[in-house]
Amino acid sequence: MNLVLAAEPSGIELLPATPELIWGLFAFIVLFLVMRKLVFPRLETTLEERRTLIEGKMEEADTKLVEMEEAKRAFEASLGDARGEAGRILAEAKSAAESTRESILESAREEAQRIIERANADANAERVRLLEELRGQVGALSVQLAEQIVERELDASTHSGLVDEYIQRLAAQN
Amino acid sequence: MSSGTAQAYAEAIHAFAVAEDALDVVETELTSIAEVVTGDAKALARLSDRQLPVEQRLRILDGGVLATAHPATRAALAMLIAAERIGHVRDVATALAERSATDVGRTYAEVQVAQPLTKTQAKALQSALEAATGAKLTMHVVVDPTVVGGVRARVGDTVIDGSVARRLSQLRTRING
Repeated sequence: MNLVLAAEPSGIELLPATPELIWGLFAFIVLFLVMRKLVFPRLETTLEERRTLIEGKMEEADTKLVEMEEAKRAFEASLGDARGEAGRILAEAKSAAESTRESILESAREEAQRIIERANADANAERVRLLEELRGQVGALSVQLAEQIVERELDASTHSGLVDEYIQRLAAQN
Repeated sequence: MSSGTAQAYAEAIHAFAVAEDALDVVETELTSIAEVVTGDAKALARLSDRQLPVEQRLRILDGGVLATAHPATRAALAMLIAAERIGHVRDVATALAERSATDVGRTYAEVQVAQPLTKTQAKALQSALEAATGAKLTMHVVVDPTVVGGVRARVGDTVIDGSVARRLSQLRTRING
C-alpha cells in the first residue's frame, strides 16, 4: 500500500500507486462492461416492466377514479331523482288522501241527506197513514153509531113506511 | 161458486124434483133450508167440515126438521154435501128458483127486507117490480136483518137497492173518502 500516514514527515500521500490505479480502472471497466452486457439490460427490462406496471396501475387507478366519480355523479343524480320521486309520491299520496277524505265526507253527507229525506218521507207517510187510519176509524165509528141509531129508531111502522116509500118510488119511475 | 156451477147443480135437482113431481116443494124447502143454513154459521161449519166423514154429515139430514123434508129435498142436500158444495146451497136454491120460474114463463125476483112484508105490501111490491122490469115475476121474499130497513130487490142481473144498508154504505164511502 502506498497510503502514507499524515504523521509521516514527507506529508500525507492519499492517491494509490499508478499500476494499482490502472488495474483498478481496468477492473472497473471490465465490471462495467459485464454489467452493461448482462445486468443492465435485465435491470432496464425490470425497470421498464415496473414502470409499465406502475403506469398501468396508475392508468387503472385513474380509470377507477373516473369511474368512481361517474358512479358518484350517477348516485347523486339517482339520489336526486329518488328524492324527487319520493316527493312526488308523497304529494300524490297527500292528494289521494285528501281526495279520499273529500269523497268519504261527500258520501257521508249524501248518505246523511238520504237518511234525513227517507226519515222525513217515512214520517210523512206514517202521518198520512195515521190520518187515514184515524179518518177511517172515525168514519167507521160514525157509521156504526149511525147504524145503531137507525136500527134503534126503526120500529115496525118505520119499516113499513120505508117499504111503502120504495114501492112508490118504483111506481113513480114507471 | 160460479153461477154456471150453481146452475148445473140446480139443473140436476130440478130434473129429479120434476121426476118426483115435487118441484114446488123442493124449491120452497131448499130455499128455506138455505136461509137457515147460511144464517147458522155453526150448522154450516158442521156440514162443510171435511174432517167429518160424508156419512156422518149426511146423518145430520136424518134428524130434526130435515127428517120431515121431502125425500127429493134431502137427496138434493145429500148431493151438495157429498160434492162439498153445501156452502153454496143458497146459490143453488136461487138458481133452482130461477129455473122453476123460467118453466112457467116468469122471471125470478129475490126481495130482501129487514122485517116480513104484509100481504098487501108484497102484492104491491110485486106489481111495482113487474111494472118496472116489464116481466112477470116469481117473487121470493127473504128476511135479512143486514138490510137494516127498506127493500133490496134482484131481478135477474138487475138490483134495485132501496135499503138503509146501502145508504149507510154510501155514507161510509163518503166519510172514508
